Amino acid sequence: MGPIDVDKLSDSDIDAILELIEDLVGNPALLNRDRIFLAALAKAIDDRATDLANATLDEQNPAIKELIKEFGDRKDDLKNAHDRLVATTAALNQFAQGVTAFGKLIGVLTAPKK
Amino acid sequence: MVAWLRIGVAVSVAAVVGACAHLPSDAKVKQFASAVDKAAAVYIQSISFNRDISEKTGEENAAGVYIARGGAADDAECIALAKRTAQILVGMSAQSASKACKYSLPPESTKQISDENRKLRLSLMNAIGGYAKALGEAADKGAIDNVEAAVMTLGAATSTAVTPLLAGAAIPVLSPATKIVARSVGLAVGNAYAVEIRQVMAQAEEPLKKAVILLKASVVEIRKNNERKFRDWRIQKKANLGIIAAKPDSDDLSRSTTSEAYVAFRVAVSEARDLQTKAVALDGYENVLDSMLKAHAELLEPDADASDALAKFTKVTDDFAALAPTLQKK
Repeated sequence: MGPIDVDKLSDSDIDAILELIEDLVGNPALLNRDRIFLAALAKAIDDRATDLANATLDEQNPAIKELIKEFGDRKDDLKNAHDRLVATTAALNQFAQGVTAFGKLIGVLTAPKK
Repeated sequence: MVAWLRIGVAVSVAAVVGACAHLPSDAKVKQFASAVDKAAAVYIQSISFNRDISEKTGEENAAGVYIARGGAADDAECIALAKRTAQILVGMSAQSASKACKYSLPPESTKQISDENRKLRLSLMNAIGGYAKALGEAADKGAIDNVEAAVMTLGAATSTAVTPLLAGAAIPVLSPATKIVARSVGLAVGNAYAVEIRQVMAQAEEPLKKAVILLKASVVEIRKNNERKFRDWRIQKKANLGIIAAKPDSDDLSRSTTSEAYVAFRVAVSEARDLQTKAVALDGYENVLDSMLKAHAELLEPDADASDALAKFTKVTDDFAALAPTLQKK
């Protein structure tokens, strides 16, 4: 096997190599040191492949941060609208109570005197 | 005069009702919010699996080093192994490759999706979930009923309050007219609210589309990494099973009995089945994201009965949610 530059491997190459190692490592004819060697190789390839995955995901992060803020803003918009509606309802009820009290007062003041 | 007043009020009410914007059905919005919650839970657990499998793979690797070498760290064989690995993998120094024949307690996990990448995607799912939950609360029909009732109460109170000030002839006309005006004002307030909520939902459409595109791309990367890590775990496990079952003459460190090897194999089978379920948990998750987008768009449709997309979204998330207990199991 020649040298492997994981950074230059395609996804399918990485999977093909790991598949090959998986086939080999189960061979009962291997010595333990060969098993450990293959396991170490697989771990190293997995680590490098994960570095590549992280690099790909890193590229999306600025856009994701913006979207998190965007949904936070929309959530606040909904909450504010709902809070305003509830506050309006409370104010109307309070005002109605005031008007009722005022009506009673007017009723008393305008009642024909005996 | 009174007849004209009645007609005028009736026309005003008709105009308001005619231009009425409806809130999306609160039951449907709540169904949507609940499905988003379930979808987020599966996504979050699948990302967490990446960390779990990395730890388990690191543990298997350390166990292999231990049982094969008895914990020896730097003998000639180990150095040779490190050199061999470094020769094969470009960019890997012999020093870092020499980690392959050492173990630590607790064992080092294999590399995993970074904390930042994991947390940002979890935050995005949570932000969408938070928006959906707020939408569920905002679409609560009770709040609009309450404001309409409050306006009616105020109208009735006003009518009662001014009655003593008016001439007797006006009383039978004013009372129903006040009711109609109050109702129309209540409807107008509710209508303005519904328009505002629908505007917010419309504003969320584009971000939701972008989020679905990004989350789908992330799912592809995370699923691929989870599946690779599961393969790496299998490799470490097979290496260890091979070491356990090795015949005494193949290597001087083998010392397990056949029954011990059998037990180790049975345990490995059980672990593998469990991990496999988790590793492929995100298979088809793109459908969940697509259907979330369609369901949200459907909530904005004027046809209040439309619920095909929402029904599909609920079904696919329920299917995925059924995996949740398995995913939570360590």
